[in-house]
Amino acid sequence: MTNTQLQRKRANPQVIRDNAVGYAFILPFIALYILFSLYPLAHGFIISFNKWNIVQPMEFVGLKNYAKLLQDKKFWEALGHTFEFLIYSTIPLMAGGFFMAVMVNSRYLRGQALFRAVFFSPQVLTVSIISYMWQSLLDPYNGLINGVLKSLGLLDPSPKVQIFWLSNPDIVWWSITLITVWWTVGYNMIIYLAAMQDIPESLYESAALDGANDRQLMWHITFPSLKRIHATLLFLQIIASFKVFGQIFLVTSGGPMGRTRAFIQYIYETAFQRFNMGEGSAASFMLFIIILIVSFIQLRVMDKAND
Amino acid sequence: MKRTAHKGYLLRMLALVMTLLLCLSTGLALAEEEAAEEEVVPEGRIEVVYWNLLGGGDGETLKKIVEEFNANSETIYVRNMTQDWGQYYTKLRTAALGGTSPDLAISHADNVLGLYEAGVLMPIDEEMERLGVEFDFTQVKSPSIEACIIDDHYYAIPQDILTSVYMYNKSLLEPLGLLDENGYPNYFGSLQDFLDACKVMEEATPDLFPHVSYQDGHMIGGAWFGFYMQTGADPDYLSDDRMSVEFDEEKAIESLKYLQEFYSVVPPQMTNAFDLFTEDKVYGLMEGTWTVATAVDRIDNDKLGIVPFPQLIDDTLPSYAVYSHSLVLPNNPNRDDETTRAALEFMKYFIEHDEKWAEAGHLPSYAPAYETEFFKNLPLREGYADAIDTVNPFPASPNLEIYTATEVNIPLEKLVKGEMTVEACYAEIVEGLNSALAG
Repeated sequence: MTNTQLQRKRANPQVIRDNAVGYAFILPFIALYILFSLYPLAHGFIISFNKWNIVQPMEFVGLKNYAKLLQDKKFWEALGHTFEFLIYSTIPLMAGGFFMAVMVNSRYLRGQALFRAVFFSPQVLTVSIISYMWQSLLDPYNGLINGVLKSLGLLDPSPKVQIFWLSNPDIVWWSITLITVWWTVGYNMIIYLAAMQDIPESLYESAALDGANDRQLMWHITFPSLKRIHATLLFLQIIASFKVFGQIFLVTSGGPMGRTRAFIQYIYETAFQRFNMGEGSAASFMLFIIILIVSFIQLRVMDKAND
Repeated sequence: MKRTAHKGYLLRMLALVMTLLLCLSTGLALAEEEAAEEEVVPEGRIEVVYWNLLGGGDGETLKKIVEEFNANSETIYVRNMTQDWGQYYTKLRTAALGGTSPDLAISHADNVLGLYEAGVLMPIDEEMERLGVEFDFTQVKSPSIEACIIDDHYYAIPQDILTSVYMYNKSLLEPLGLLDENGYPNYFGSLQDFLDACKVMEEATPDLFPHVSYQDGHMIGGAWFGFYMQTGADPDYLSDDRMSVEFDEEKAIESLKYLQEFYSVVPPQMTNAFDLFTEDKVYGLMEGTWTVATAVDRIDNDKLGIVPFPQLIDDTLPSYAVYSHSLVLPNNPNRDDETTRAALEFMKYFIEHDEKWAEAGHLPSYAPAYETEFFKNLPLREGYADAIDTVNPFPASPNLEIYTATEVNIPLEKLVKGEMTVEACYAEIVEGLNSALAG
């Protein structure tokens, strides 16, 4: 393009008018986004360098909040618990979503729409409802699950013999993973299902003509064709794991013995129960940096894998 | 095919429209209900906005008291607003920051010092004197009153004695000979007596639970504090500046051993111990006074017994912690003297009719309330009315509510579940509290 042509393109009144109209339409969103997202983010960063209990004036303390956090045993425990949840839950959530999508997409299955709705339906429930429900189900003395196990003879009928799903530190994370997978795997299923339905049918036809069975079709066509979806969902799952809070807080309150206190709960308790807003903000930004680093590493690894 | 596709499309559109209509009608109905429930302040009355954090039986009892006051007052109207329990203190502080504090509020006595340091509260006695509201503070007998007096002024008035009581099933205990002639447990002479009695219960009915106590949260913290006081240690184990702990180490470790023994008969974590108790599956249960009203409603009162938490080591010393709901006067520069006086008048009314609040299960803070016919006629209160003499508040600190401190409650939970030794538990509590108290 010549300089004159470029100048004409830039100076074209119609182009300017078109862009202005577009910006005018997104201006309300931008304004609200700045007011309710970017401004609190910036203000939170400033708070992290201060000592503040909400009511009294802020007192600048520099990096003291960050230093204190790094020396706090509970900070490291909470971070460790969050990584524990990440490790426990990521594979079941991704594998569960994938296999559910395969099942729902199968030509052999009757009532696909019904199964799709049933698998997705827990996702529409709020965290408080699912937490209350599972807390009742997993109750050791009166809960349905232990009751069923006892009636099937899989658990000693004595009332003193129970499985402590939520208060045994050796199995509590499995219980929380079960709750989380039941609640949210439907979302992953929908994503996988949508992507599966975009895989060209001709690939399956060709492979079938060459004698491939269903298992081979799944592993050699379906699974590899969804490479980008695997990467995207893994990325989203890891971020979601770092932000886990609601169901753990409502079901175990971070117990037993603080073993399931995740990082967001640590931030919540520091800021809103102890009124250490400075330390709470500092912890939030440290989580932000951790997520940023993990995401960066993950994207680099994925890019290399794609290459 | 085209017709089928068209029909499918129409069905989906119909489903979408019906869903939207349902959502819209639900929303409208809720809005209408909300509008109908909107309180209207009668003309000529001064409105007092009163925040509380009480639900369940407590909330219902409070609602009755406020409604009765509003029905009988010609000059004041109290707007009773229940806030979310988990967000209550954050809301109270942010309201103070924004100049929108309520005219009257509830605070746990342990939180009063922290709210005072944050500048959220006004001195009640000073305001009462300035505005001509007469009230006899000497009649307030709750041990929590000490936490409410700061710099020789009353920043809160305790409205009750919140503590833990021992509920027991008479119909299960009587056949085993474990009740005295008055129907009270006869196995509280010592910790060993208690443990021996639990063994008798266990042998008689292996499928029932002799005793249940909560193994986490503030209930276990209160139990340990009780045992600590039972050893004769000074209940105020904080330094003068309230920034560190000064435990009597020997007595603290002794009390942890007592706690460990006491909990040796407690089954692993029960989240619904109260339900099992109502089903006659538990002999004795450690519960809060806040569940007494529910217990009285759900359990045959001839079968139910309630006594203070037992003094198993020394019957001359306190055996459990006390927390109290207290009435506070939030700082609000936008509130006029007329409204402040109205708030104080309601505060005075509430405390002077403390026997009505006792209907929720708590013990009154106001001494004359114990002599009223209303209190004497409340079921089962005579069994644990003496708790006022067997409890003591936690030491108060501006930086930490000790009764909910995970620095105490989590190591205690680990101790009673066998995950920690007594010495390690003590060390962790000291380290955790010192860090948290320093702020």
